[in-house]
Amino acid sequence: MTDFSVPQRMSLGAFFIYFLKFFRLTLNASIIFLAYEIFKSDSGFIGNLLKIAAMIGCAAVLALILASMAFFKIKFYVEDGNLIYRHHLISSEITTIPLNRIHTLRTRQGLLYRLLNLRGILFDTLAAKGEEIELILSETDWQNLIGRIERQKQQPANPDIPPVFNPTSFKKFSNKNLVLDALCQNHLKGMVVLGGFIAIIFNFLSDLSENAIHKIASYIESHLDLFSVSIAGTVIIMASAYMVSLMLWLGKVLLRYSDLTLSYNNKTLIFTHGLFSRFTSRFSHDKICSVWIKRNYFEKRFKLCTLTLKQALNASAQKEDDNLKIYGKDCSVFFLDWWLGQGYGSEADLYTAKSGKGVIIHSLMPDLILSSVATAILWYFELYSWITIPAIYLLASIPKGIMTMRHSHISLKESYLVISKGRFAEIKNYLKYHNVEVVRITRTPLSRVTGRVSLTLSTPGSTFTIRSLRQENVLPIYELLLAKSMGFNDHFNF
Amino acid sequence: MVVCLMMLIRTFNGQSHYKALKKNITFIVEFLQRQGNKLLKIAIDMNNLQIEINNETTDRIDDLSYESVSPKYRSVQTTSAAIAYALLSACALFLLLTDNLWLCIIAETVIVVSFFINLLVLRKAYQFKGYALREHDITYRSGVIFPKITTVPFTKIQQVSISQNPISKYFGLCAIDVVNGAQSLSSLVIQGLTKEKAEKIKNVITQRLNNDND
Repeated sequence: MTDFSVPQRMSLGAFFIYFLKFFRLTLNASIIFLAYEIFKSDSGFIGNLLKIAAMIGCAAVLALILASMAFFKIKFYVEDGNLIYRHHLISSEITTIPLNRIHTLRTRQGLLYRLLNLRGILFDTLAAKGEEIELILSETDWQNLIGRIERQKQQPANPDIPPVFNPTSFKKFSNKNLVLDALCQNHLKGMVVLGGFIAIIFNFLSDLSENAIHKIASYIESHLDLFSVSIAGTVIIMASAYMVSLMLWLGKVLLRYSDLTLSYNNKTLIFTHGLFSRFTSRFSHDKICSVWIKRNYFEKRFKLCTLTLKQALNASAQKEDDNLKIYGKDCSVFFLDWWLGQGYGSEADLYTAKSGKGVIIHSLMPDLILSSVATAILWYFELYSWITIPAIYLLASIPKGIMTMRHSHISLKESYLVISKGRFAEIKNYLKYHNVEVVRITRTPLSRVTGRVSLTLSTPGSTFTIRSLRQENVLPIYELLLAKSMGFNDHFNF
Repeated sequence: MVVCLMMLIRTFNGQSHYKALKKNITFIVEFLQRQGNKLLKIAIDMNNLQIEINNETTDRIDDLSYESVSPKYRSVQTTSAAIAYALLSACALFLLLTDNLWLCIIAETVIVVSFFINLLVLRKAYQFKGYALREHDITYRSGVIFPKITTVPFTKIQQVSISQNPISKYFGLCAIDVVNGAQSLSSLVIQGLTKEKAEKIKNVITQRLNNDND
């Protein structure tokens, strides 16, 4: 009986599986070359047959080499509660995965696997950048390995089956508020939809025959005077384009988010939405890692908000559920009560830190680069009076920078933290401490003079950077974040 | 020191020696009890003492004494840079095909100058690079223009890898890759460690992770 206490290779059948996989790959890669060779050659049936045989032989040899490399490079074993992989080829790598970190255990048994009585096993951890190594084992080895893992782990492998959902409450979101909030957004988002349509039309035109394109071009040329319009005409065209983009934007929002209903209990939220196709998004209480709430000027005025629940992403997570945006009446209190617990709003600030003027420079940087490039081009073509346009554009960006600075801050409460960001709109991200995975301080060349640094914290769902914070404010926050992320109530030595 | 001083003051404060001694003993016992309770409280509250980096034990992130990576790592970096620049230089030789000798000379000069500037930057980067282990987390310091300090709590680590490429293998060094569950910054790679150091760090981390389950 194999006990996996010493480094060992996968079952011998794995070599055959690898060989077939690589043989299929190499054959697929060489088939076009082979077809071309046969097509252009005049060597007759036997000659072509020999060529095919030679090509298959080459593919088999290459597959054999690749399969040997894949099979012989990996050794694995279980030691002191860790699953250890060793890769040795040109570079060597030893990966240690503690058994208690294995989140999901997936097995694969295709037709070939079943014929050879093998099983492919994949171990998933919560790591987004994880090693995904498939171990191909015989059925006996698999039973021995799972037995060994369960003995060491002292708990059965988590099959990751979602709990049975019993909805206890329902909530319906009004379509009127959805339209109102959609109107409060940046309408130019409709341009993206318009761009998509134009791309489709362009593709269609490129598929047309040259003769048809020539006819369209000559028609435009002969009626060119009809296309030349006055300033009023230009304004009308622009207004029409804007209306079209607005309608497209509204259409997109209505198609995706109309008739939004929520059924929930204390552990799960299930959203159902969509005008024609109904979509369902499921959010587990413990998988949500941040709540994103955006309120721009108009939304604040009409008591609306845009809200997103962000879930943890890992190798096996699904991405579709992450893009659900809830437009409409300000329901942030409801979701935050559900996620953070009632009375979250009454918690006092433990630490707060606000960004300084450095954020203005940072937010102006892309505009500065764009304006500089535009100025250089205009200067080169001696269009000096036109330089006022990039200058005005840069000046118009200054309020944006100031607003970014005003919105940017972090505040730590007893059981959660809030990261505020945003340019013209105010964006608040609510996070729980246990979702904080990594904390980083970054200094800039100016930090010595300004005494300001950036703080970055990463969660399984998203990463946040708060720039231009005072170093003396950041250090206690850094320590408190680390302590709280590990579940300690107190922070280190403060 | 403070206790001894207070004992002396109490002893020579006009009281009889016996009474003073008795009082002092009671005082010391009470003092030790108080200190003991305080120490116990700190231990319960949660400390994050730095572990086995020199003899000092500093705890806060800004006071950590960082362990430098192996001096051989500079040779690894120099060799890697030399190989990369040699390849670039070889590619620049193709400019000779355009019959423009000066263009080739300029390109080669730029490459050589860049190589030496790169060496200077690498030297600076090496001086700043360092890592520190505390009881509950691992911290890595790196960067030249934008120096950064990154800390990963042990409880968040999902897997640890030790790797060697042919160049670092030649110099007997390896890198440790600490992978956590974050969406970005998911990997903390400490290059230029000796095999023993890397194994030691890996053992500390895996022991902590396995103890989490107990």
